Amino acid sequence: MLFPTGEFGVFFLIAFALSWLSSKHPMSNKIVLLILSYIFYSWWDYRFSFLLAASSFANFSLALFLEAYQDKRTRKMILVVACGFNLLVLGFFKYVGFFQSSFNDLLHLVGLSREIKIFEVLLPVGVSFFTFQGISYVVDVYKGHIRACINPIDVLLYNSFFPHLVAGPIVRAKDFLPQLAQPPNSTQIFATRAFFLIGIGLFKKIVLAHTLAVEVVGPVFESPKSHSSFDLLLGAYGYAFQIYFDFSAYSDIAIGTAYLLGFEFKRNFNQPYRAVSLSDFWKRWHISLSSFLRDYLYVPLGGSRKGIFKTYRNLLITMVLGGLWHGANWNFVIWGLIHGFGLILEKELSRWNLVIQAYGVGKYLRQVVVFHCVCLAWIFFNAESLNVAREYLGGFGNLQMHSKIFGTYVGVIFAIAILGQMVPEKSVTFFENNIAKIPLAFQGATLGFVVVFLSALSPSAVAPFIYFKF
Amino acid sequence: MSQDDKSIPPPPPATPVPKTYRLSQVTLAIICFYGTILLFDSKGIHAWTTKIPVNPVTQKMRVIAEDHWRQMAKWGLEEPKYTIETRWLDLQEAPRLVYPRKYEHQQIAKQEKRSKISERDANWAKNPRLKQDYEQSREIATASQAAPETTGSRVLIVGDSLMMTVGPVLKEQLEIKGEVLVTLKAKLATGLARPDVFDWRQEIDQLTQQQRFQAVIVLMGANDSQDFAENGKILSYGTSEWVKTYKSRIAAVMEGICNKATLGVWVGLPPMQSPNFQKKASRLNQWIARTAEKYPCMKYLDTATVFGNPKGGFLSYLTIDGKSEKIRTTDGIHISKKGAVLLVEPVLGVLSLDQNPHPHPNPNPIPHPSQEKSKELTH
Repeated sequence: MLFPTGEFGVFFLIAFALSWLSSKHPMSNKIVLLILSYIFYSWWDYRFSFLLAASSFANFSLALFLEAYQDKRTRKMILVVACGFNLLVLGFFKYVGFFQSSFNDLLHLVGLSREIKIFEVLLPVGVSFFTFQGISYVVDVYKGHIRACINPIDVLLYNSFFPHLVAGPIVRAKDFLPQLAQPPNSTQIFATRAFFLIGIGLFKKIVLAHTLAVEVVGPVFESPKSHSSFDLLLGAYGYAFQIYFDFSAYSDIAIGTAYLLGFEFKRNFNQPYRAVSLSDFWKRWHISLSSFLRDYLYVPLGGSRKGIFKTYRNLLITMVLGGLWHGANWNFVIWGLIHGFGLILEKELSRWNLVIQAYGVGKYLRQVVVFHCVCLAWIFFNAESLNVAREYLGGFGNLQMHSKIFGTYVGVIFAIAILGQMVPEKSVTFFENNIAKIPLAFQGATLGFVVVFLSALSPSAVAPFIYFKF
Repeated sequence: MSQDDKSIPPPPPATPVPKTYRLSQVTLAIICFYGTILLFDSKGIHAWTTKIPVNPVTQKMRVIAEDHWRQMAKWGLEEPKYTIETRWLDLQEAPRLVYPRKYEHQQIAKQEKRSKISERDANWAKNPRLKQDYEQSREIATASQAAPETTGSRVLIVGDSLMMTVGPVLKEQLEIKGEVLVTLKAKLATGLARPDVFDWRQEIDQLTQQQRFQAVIVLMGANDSQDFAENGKILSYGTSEWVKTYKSRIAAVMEGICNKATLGVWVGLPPMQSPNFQKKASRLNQWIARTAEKYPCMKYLDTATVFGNPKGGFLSYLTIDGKSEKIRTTDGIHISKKGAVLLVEPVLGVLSLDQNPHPHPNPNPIPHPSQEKSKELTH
């Protein structure tokens, strides 16, 4: 069930009504939300919900074990088992196909033309997200940030809560579970912000991301050889904005939906392309994943506390694993390496005091450089194979400036995209505050008009969000 | 990651707490939200009810949505959406920097679409039950391109999402190698099971009426393993009644093609990765092949010989010119661009057969020319 569809419209109406009708009794409210979340998830394939439930139960039990033992060594061992279990689930479903095909490729290389097929594995939607949430839960219990839940429904709901279930944001256990401890507050609903986020999210997905995908990114990445350097550049910029609009749209709608049900998630994007360094970029892009990798991988590896060499090693490991999280593919490894080496270069420049200060012209210069580094990495991320990426980069050498793609329509979309990154954050708050002055019923009707407007602009089928496949 | 770059400006202060509301206010706002959509997007709601899987509840929903749409159309509440749609098309048609031939075709297609929309909208206002629904005319990332006026041979390519990847490659290659002009129409999530969503029989009839085509190439069926309604009765997938109706639909399309074109080529579904789906695809291919035998102008192209292993099973990779190439997409259903190239020669083979017409009205599946070649298989 995709967010911008009629199915979700009906589902949300039922969820809103049932959730608030049961809100006076916390346990019944949790059960209602849990059932709704599993219905939402089963919409793709009911078999996946067994995996989700099993994973949640395993994490629930392991956290109880953690709480039961005080001995440091035993606790660490349980933590290792818990993390190992979650990574095994993720690895099995996500990478077994890759290993099978690599093995078959290897057989082919040595002259054996047999196709070995041990498993046929369907990738469950959102597996990367709920396994990371499982890890977040047991680590938070291990660190003492939260107590282990006595009631399995809490963990089941934390893992499966439908707004964030399939494409994030990755919600930390310490942020979500305390919200379950008390019933949703029916007198303090952030409705204006919710409507604002849902409206913006739908616009980003239906108009901006879709247009960029169909008019710019698709044609260019399909056959880079047949496009001019100018179009290739547009394609790279286009994909940078497409993936941002697509993914941030999902996060916006998820956060807005959660607000309307009385829950709060942290923001997941913060105008990432106005970053003045790659490290700044990672504080603004997919914040829930980058902070997860920082807290659960980079810091445990030693972070920047064990000397310069180990810091660089840790950065590379973190970024490459971050790349591999997206899928077992060399393109993602290179994407991670570009970011890893970029971060190392930044550290080195900073060490030798060679950094241009991030104010005045220097700030814009840095933004341009960082944006282009990110675009370079996106070319590898989106290309079908390393060969296509190579063709793409090679195409820049033809120095042709004509365009099959650029026109008023695409220009308007790019202008909106750039403007969206450049407007001061205050202006968004200002806009939101002004909307809040309108009576809420009118805000609701306005959002309805926005949906009608977007429905007029939308294709008759909405493509799945890019991050569903991760 | 955790960085301490001093040159980065400090993060902005925490966002102020947004305004909060009581549940009663929010409920009223939600009612206004849904109410606005019900009033101003009744056509969209109706279109949605035609796309969801068929069952007694959705059938009922469709009837209600249709009545509701008719009422809203009477009151003129669909006008705002229509105005936005036409303005949006204006913007999409705004000039580009360069107009290579390929893009001119897109412009022509968009203009045709626009005139079709105006015509249909005038009709639906009078009678929303018309099957020529405006919604159905909207393309889903379709590659519909009108061929320019010329006296050369013409080929029409039609199909579902499988054809959306295969079609552009076939079009390009057939135009170069086959020296024919190709019109391509592919539409996502369509087939013969749900003419209420998109009626391919009618669409092919219309296209072949507008233009004389020497050949029509069809590839569809991947979305058809589902229940559908026929004369108000819901037929469950796989039942004898379902099979009978489905076969009659295949026959109707083939008959339409044979009436208008010299040759029809129905490209069978390729082997599928999922064993369940493969079973369904095989059954469907059998029905198509058997029905094709009844029509002298129709030829069935068996793709298992092109994309499958020697047993006709699924293959992800195939060695082409000594290089292992991925011929299928990761979903195990669709064909990759490299794979699509493999279809060109077999299709050309069938098309050239037509130049020396077969005296026998009972053609067998056309073997792939590369069938004799030994295939090196990889995953």
